Amino acid sequence: MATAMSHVGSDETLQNVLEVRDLKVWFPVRTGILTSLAKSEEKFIHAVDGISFDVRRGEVFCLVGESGCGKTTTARCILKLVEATSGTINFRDDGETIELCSAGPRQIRRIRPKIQLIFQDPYESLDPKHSVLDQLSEPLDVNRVGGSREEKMKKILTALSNVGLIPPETFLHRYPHELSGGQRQRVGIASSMVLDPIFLIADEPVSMVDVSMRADILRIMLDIKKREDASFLFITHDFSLAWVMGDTIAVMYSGKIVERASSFDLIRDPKHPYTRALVSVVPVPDPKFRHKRVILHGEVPDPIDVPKGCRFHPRCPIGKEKCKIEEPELRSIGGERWVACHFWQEPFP
Amino acid sequence: MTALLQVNALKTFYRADGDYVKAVDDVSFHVDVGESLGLAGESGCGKTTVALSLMRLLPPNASILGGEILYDGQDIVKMSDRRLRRTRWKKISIVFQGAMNALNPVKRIVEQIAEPILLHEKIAKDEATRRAERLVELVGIDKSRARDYPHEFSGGMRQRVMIAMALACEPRLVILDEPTTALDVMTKMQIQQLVKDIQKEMSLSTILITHDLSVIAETCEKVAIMYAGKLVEHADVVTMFENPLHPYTSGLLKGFPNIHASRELPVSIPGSPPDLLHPPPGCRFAPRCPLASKECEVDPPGKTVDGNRYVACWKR
Amino acid sequence: MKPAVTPIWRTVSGFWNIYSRVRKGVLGLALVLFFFAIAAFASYLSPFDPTKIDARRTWLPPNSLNWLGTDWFGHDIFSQMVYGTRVSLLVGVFATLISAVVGTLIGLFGGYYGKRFGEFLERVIDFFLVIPYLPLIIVLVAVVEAMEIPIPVLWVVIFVIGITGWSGTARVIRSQVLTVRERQFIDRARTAGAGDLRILTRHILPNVFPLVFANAVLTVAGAVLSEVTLDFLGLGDPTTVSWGMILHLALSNNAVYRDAWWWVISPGVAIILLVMGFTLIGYSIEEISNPRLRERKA
Repeated sequence: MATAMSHVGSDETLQNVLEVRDLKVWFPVRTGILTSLAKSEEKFIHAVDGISFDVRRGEVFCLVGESGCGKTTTARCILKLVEATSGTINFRDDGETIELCSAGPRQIRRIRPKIQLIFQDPYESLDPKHSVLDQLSEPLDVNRVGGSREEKMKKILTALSNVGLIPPETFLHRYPHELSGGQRQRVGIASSMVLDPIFLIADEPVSMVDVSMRADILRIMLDIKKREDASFLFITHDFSLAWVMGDTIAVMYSGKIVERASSFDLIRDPKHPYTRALVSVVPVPDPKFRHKRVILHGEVPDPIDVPKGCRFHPRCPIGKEKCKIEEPELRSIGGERWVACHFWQEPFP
Repeated sequence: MTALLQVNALKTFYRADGDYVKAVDDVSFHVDVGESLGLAGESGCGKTTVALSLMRLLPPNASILGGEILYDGQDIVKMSDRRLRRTRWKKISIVFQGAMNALNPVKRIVEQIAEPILLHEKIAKDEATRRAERLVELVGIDKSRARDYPHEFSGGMRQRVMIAMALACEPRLVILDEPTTALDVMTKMQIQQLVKDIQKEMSLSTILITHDLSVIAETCEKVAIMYAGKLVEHADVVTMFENPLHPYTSGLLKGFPNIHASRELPVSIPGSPPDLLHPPPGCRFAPRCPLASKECEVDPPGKTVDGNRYVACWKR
Repeated sequence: MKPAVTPIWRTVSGFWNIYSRVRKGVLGLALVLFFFAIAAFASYLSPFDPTKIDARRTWLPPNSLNWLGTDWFGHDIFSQMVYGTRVSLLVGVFATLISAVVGTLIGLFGGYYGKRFGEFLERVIDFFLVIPYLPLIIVLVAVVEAMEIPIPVLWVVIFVIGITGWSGTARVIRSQVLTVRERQFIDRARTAGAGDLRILTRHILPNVFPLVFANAVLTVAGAVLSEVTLDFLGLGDPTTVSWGMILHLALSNNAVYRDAWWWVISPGVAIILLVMGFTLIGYSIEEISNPRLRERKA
């Protein structure tokens, strides 16, 4: 019986690999010529609107939320695929700290090998014209790491073996269309691992993989965590996955983090009304399980015209006057638990 | 009690490369009046092909090569086109996978819901529109939004529109193919609840096609599991989850983590599904089955166990 | 490390497996190869010197000596046609090389670099697309010839056709690049640290290449037609033997009035067949590389 809860790291390494502070990512809204002539103020999509969190060395940090909450944008921002509007992202490795938002291209190039991404779509994330060997040698060639040809080949073969593609030599000259979805996903992971990263961002890594093969991919990720003492930012909308994979879970809503706690605490005893509702509607593979489902009505708020006060208040079962005026901050309520709600202690009516 | 829908030994193959892809190979099951059946399986197992076969909406390179589909005693496989048109939508309808993206962007919602009514029944336009408006309310959309266009609706709302369309001609059986897969968990639950409510209210029979066993656990009374074109197990939902008989079913169940249980990693089934162009002789699951033995070299026939369970495995 | 482009032999043999199944493609290829063979063996195939005049044998319909008859000057039309093949193919291929390279480069950069640079290039492409093609060519050839640059007229023609025919290719490539650019494997290459140039050459180009190729083949058809038109209008080199020139001489000498059908039909049919050949090949490649265009085979 394998559990996701594993030894996080010795005291030395129990430091933060990633520190995000008040990160904001706003996208300007493209308006037609007529509208832009008429209106003078520019409108923005508040994709990520001020979030802060830390990820420790060797930790699996889950970012959970529904579509449009900003979790994918956060990931793309950390990877520099998207520019942050404001805020800081501190990345720490080997005692050295780099602030990603303000770092120059040379610094980014240096630390790129350390931060890698595991993609969601095994069919789209591999270039159909590149063989497995091409796929895995590209990161090494681009970053000029890996040493001589023989050493590079050794790295590639090891990476393939580590993801269970054995014997690795037989996979080198295959093309994506010759592989199954699960195999492609493994190639993708191997391609990310060949640079020996210490921080991996996994954006819905198994949502497009068949159920009976998901566990293998998840297990590979946990192996990586154990072997390399690597940290993961695991992004998903599936609470069940966050439950088994995550050490810490942060729930995002409309560009903000509304609750953060260890996965055990958050799921067994959620505090924020949104979390409480979400956890209550997670599908359970047990037909006899009966519990109260809090089904929220309405939809996620407009990311352009964000409601005043608490963003969740229009749908919140508790919602009071104060919620319409004052936006709650993410505050610690003790024991490594953080909630952004004025009335988290109140039960649902 | 005769079932509303009885499928016997259905065989639907696709033509490819001069050979056949045995997508649905000798599948039998039934759906009673007012019953919700979950048809579960992973990608490529043939469940969508079953749905398309029931509606006789197969693509040109596929054909039903055997078996019968009895709806109210009449065989859909042998039906003439004219009869078929009277059956489709009025007796059985379907919500396709990803259908919410197939709405006509230049027609108002209420018009699109009225369309099947006008096509299948001799009825005045006003009456059809009135019925469409009632359906809009039935699926939980505010009446004031009936005249909006699809792009003004979110994914969840568009899926409700698709359900309204499927109910337009008051069928007795509705097939839903992965109706909530692309939706967020909250919207998923909203749609699930909606389907359940409508089903009860209208005594509807439903076939829910999905790979997600949790959704089936929560909304269906009976469940049938498909693997590689074959139906491997069929039972009521409580019995199936408590005591799965087919090794594939138990393997599949282990792939779904439960947030109310302990923090265990799900378990994979080693290997991958067979190529349906050249499936292995004998039991199609045998290459991956922990219980496989010599007798599995012959395809196990399905048999009834404990009165109303069906399983296709030599070991049971 | 091995290069990131597929080994050529593998592509070719795999490609032929698929290509040979498309009937119209095979027909097109046969036609084109036929004409290439004629061009290559022109000197062996033509019984007469195409420029040789024979005053005794003028206006003759097809006969045992002159398989396609003779013209007003006594030229053997068959020999002229055979040598004319060379000109058509030469101009067609080289002009297309220019168009394809220019068009692909502009399409690649225009599609990849969005925002201002891309939109600027898009405007440039649109500008060229909108300009009436024929008047442009005519004017350019006339201007360049007037400038009396010591380049043979043939190469002027090639050059002009080349630099005016790139916009169609550019547009097609650009829209394809816009799509490919958004695909996830491009993100992957970026997170691996690949720079723009590498992404363009190793990822985007190989994935749009089938389209480049299909488009280039179709452009050849267009280039051949342009060349014929220019010669027909008398803008080409009057000393070169080309199909367009044959047509030009035919019509300016009232061949139709004099019922000399063989003088007009020979170049006409040849032009149609050659252009059709290239077009069929181009469409087949397009059909193969774009799965959506593939007809459903029941």
